[in-house]
Amino acid sequence: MSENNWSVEDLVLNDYFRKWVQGGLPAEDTYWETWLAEVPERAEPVSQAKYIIEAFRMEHEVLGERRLKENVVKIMTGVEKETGRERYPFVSIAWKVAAMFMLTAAMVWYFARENERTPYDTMVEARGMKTIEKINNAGTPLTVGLSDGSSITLQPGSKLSYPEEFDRDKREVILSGEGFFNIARDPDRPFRVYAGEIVMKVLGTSFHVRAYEKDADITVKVVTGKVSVLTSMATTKKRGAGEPAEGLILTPNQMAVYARSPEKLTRTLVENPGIIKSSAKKSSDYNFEDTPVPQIFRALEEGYGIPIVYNAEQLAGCTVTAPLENENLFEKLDMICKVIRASYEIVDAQVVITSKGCL
Amino acid sequence: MYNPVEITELWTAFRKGDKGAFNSLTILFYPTLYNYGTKLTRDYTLVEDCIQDLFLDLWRRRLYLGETEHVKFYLLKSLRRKVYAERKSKDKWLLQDWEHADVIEFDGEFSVESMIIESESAEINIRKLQQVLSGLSKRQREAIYLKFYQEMDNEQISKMMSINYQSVRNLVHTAIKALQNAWFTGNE
Repeated sequence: MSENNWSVEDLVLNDYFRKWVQGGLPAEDTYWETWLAEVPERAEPVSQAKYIIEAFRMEHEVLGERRLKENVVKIMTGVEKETGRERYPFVSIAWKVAAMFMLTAAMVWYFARENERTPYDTMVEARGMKTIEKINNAGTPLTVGLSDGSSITLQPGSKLSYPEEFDRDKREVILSGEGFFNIARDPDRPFRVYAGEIVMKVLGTSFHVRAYEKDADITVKVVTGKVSVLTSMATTKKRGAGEPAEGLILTPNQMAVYARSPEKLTRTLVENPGIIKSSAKKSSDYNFEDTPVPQIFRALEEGYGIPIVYNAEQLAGCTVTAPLENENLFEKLDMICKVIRASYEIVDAQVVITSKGCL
Repeated sequence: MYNPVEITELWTAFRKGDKGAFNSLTILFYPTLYNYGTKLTRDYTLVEDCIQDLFLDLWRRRLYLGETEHVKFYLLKSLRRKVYAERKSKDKWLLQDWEHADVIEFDGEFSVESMIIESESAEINIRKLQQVLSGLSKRQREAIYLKFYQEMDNEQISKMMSINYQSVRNLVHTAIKALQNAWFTGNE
């Protein structure tokens, strides 16, 4: 087929053309615009092809992010069980003895590895200053007060390293494990928390960090204020100097998840978002009576500090009556969506509403 | 996102027993599998069950799997087989001669409704279009879905649907022609 003689079908079946029609090409790629402008007769087949591609658009079922995660965890739990079950049914005594030796050797190797230096140890050493280390070996949480008025509650099995006295221009601590940080506001001295492969930088906030060396990921959940999360130097180096470090800014009710393999930093919502302290909303504000849906969404956005993306025009005429004072955010959304025949999903810590409008 | 080479690397690592790689493959392909599965049956819970079985089977058989550059194709094909096997055993009691019934049950729908909302050109004859689209066979819909949404070539589609290469071309060709005709009559 020559380029001058594209039939409608050729165009429809061309991946590159379809990408253009569906807006999947970068703005710099003006190949098709140029091609179309070159010969006026091309306009007709192009508009037909566009129309056919449009007509072949399909409805897609999407599984919510939470459900997806649950299902993946279910599969991985199954995998763990399978691996435990993989045994050989007939084993001679000699093999059993050999296996015992192997097991002992494996245990020795495992415990030796346990004593290997962790990122925490490396970072503490690298500081090279006079540091205090608090290790929580008790069975209950331990609260540590810092010289700047901040306080940190460490979960059992966690440790925190910090200098006796903070510098004039910065405050830095190193965490291994899990802790809740309540940081005193001091704009002149940003507060940094180093935890495994990530660094958090804050001015004054409260947030929760979970960074156990053995976990597959590190999580940061924000209660008040803002926290910026960056992947630390070590991972940036691995990525290559040219590429920028990954980073994102979290606001209340948001959570960052750093996955270790493959390395990836993503933002989502915490499991159960609460009404944020800085908002004027209280739970009784969520009893709705004949309330227009856009107004409900605005109330939720304000109260929970979470953007809700929806088609305002389409939902302008919809109203909902429901007492939702005692429901959590996701239950509220479930109820509202059920009433207006819509669905929602969480995308990059935003709630995205899909609706066909209401009758 | 992953490029094809990285996916092949993940696949190789998984076959050697790397759980992390397997976890990544699961996360990566679950949405695609769900998207396809929910078009093969309206029973969405069944789809989730089938995907779970599929991945667990995969893990159990990892030592017997070969190298493949077409991980997605392999997974989608396995899912299709599984969904039909499940449906067959479920429907056996209802429908005695399943063997003779049309086993291909592709339920994916074209969303003309969204076109009505978004289309700017008033001359498009939606009613006519709807008629043509609902006149397309399930095989035609599936071939178009696999081509447009799973970016498969005719060769892969023919293996996927267990029909020959020429049939795939015909299915797609007649579907496009039908729409093209609707376009002409709709604009006259």
